[in-house]
Amino acid sequence: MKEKFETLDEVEIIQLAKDGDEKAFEFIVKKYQNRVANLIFKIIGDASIVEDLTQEVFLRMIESLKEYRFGSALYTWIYRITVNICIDEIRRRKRLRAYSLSDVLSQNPKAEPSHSHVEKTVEQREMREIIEEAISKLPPEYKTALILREFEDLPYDEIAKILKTRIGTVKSRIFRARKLLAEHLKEYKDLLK
Amino acid sequence: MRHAKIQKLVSEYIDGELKNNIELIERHIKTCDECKQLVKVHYLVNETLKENTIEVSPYLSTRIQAIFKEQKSQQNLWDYIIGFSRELVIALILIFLVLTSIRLISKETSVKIDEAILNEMPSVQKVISTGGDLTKDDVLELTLSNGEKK
Ligand SMILES: [Zn+2]
Repeated sequence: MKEKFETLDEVEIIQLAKDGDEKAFEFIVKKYQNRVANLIFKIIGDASIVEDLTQEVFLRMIESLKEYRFGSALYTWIYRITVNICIDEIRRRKRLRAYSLSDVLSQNPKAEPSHSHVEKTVEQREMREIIEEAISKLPPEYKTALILREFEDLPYDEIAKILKTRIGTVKSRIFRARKLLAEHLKEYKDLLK
Repeated sequence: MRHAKIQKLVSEYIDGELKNNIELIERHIKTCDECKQLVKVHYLVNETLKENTIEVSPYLSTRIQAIFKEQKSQQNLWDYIIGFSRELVIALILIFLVLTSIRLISKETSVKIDEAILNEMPSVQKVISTGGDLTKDDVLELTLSNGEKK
């Protein structure tokens, strides 16, 4: 079965999936599941929910397969669904957090004594955690644009297609994300040297 | 160009999206600490994001496939139910129309029969023509004429 689909081009596979071909759909899932999962992992930053959301991406993909136009690449379309699901999830989490005071307090870095030092010497593992935390604090629109650029290595025009926005907007979101990160990482003097 | 204007271009330069002024930007970065930081942020973020990746469990695609199949069969069932109900509704409308028209026809016939009966009876005609305002003589006359009919 694998060989059959590997000789077909993407348009033909999507057409088969559109017609309800289960094997074609399975091929698409297997081809993209890890890319989708990692994109979700990077945007949400929580591994425990990645598989559920990956599943949701592909189920939403089937639902909207009828609306798929062959003008854009399949991954652009799958990534758009992924980003939308991630942004929904971030909003859902924000709402939940707003209702839980203890949660809010534990999210506040000032409440944690380990963050109260201004200058730090940073080890490798700690460094990753600090940067991941700084990324997690970015506004969702900035974060998704930055991750599509830095993790997926996508050019601005592809990112604009995924986010359904203008290239100029993508440009400024990525720039602002970097400025905010630089601002946030200033307290760790060694990091930006 | 000053730093405030250049820093946006530095971000584009980092991403390889800058077409012009490349040398100018490179010269500026060498002398500007803030722009150096932007470049450093790029390296840190890029490294960090690519370092820690995950792989989904081999059962995920099987699970998705199973849900897909289930949804498809449910969809087929719904299509069947919707198709069936549509036919049922059309049939019910037809039956209703037939019944209504039968009732109308029979009602018309019965009205005609009623009229025919009434026209046959002079007593009723008399009551109608006088608007119910009968004299004693009229009543007597009617009683007699009805008796005659019988
Ligand atoms: Zn500068």
